[in-house]
Amino acid sequence: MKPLIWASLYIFSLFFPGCSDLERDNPLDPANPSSFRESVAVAEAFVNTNPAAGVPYNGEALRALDSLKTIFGDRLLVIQYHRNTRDFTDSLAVEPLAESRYSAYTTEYDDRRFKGVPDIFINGPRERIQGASSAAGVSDRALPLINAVLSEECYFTMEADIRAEKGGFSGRVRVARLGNQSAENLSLLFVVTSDQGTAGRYSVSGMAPPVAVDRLSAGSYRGFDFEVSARNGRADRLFILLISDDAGRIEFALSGDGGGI
Amino acid sequence: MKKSWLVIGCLSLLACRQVGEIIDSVEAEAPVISAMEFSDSQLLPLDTLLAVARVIDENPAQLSYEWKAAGGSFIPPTDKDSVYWIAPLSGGSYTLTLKAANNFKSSEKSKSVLVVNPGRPVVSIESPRGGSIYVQTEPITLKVKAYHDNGLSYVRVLVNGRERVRDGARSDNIYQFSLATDSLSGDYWLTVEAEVFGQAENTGRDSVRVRVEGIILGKGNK
Repeated sequence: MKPLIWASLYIFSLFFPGCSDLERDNPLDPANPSSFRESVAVAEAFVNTNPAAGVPYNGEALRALDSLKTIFGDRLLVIQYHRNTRDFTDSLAVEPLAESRYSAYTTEYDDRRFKGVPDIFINGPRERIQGASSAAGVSDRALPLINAVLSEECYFTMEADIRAEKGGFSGRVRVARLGNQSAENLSLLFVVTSDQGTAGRYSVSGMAPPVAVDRLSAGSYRGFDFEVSARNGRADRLFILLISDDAGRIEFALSGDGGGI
Repeated sequence: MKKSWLVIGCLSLLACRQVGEIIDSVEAEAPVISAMEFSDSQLLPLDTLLAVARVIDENPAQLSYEWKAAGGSFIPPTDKDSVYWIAPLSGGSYTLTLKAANNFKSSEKSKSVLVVNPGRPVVSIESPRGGSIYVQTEPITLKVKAYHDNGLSYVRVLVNGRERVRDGARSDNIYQFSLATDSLSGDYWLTVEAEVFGQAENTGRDSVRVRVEGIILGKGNK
């Protein structure tokens, strides 16, 4: 019997090459130096939905984001940070992490900017859409910016196992560098959102401090455990953002409410 | 010897005559242009003006005349005490100058006439461009070129038809305005209007449409 098994294995090996001979031409395979994947657009909106403000600007911006989400589906991730303004508090505000993120967007990268909501950023601080006179106007301004992001090749990818826990999420995320160049000064940001209806279907209810990724050489990956809870409201959805610390650009992002993504 | 004296005598007589002329030229009076009259005080482009001068001199028959102007053209003859002048296409103030001379001296007199260009002033908004987007509290800076041959009495900015700011005429024809947007939100027509000096109702306009996006101010506006 045994000689027959060995003979079968020999014949089998003749027809199938060894693993070392596999062609690494899968564009999603980090070991492929030409690997890349489709980009994901992330719209981070800073809003104040206190009705006492008496102006419709933030509502118009949120309506625009809903319509953009309908257009782009899973390729656009929307995150809505509520914040207190000079004259109006917002019961959904999550301070201080959301506020420090807004401060970074409005002062760290361009100190001529001033704060005022609604204020929407597409994949980082560079592309900004501040103010809203109508939902259509916001959509008109955002569309070319989102399309520009989606037309680019992305040289990062992430996978995550997410466990929904009472009031938050935990799990592990793996970050891989695609292409043929290494990357440095990266960080991961974990954001929990809850559906607040017209006040924002992706309203931030919790955040964790950024986690440094440091260096990722070409074709390599690293894993990170995380645990983040909602501080203000429910934990309906988790967003994981991979950020380039040099320019604040969001390189890639994931979103899910549990299981593997 | 006698011939020599004759030559010297002739030369002396000639010299005496030249000296006499010099004395005459010193003592002679320049012509006096006592008046210059125009047929009209203001003209349209290509209109004809009759200019007449009254010149006083001891020997009027010996007077010569020369007319000059910075623009337009004269209809010959131009060596008389009156002349026809055709106004140029460009409006503005034009000065006609007459130089009257006798055998020894001359004098000049000038007078201006206004050529009125009935065309509309040129108004061009250089910035902002149509479709520009501003965020509430961010000022809108308008840069405008406005010009007319006859000058401008004012240049003003209207927002959706209502005047927001105005300025008087500027010699460089470039006007800058800054509009506050604190109370604006939505789409607005910015219209710049200029009126020709001395021609009420003769105005030129240019318009652009801009959008102001409303915001709720942040803490300390920072």
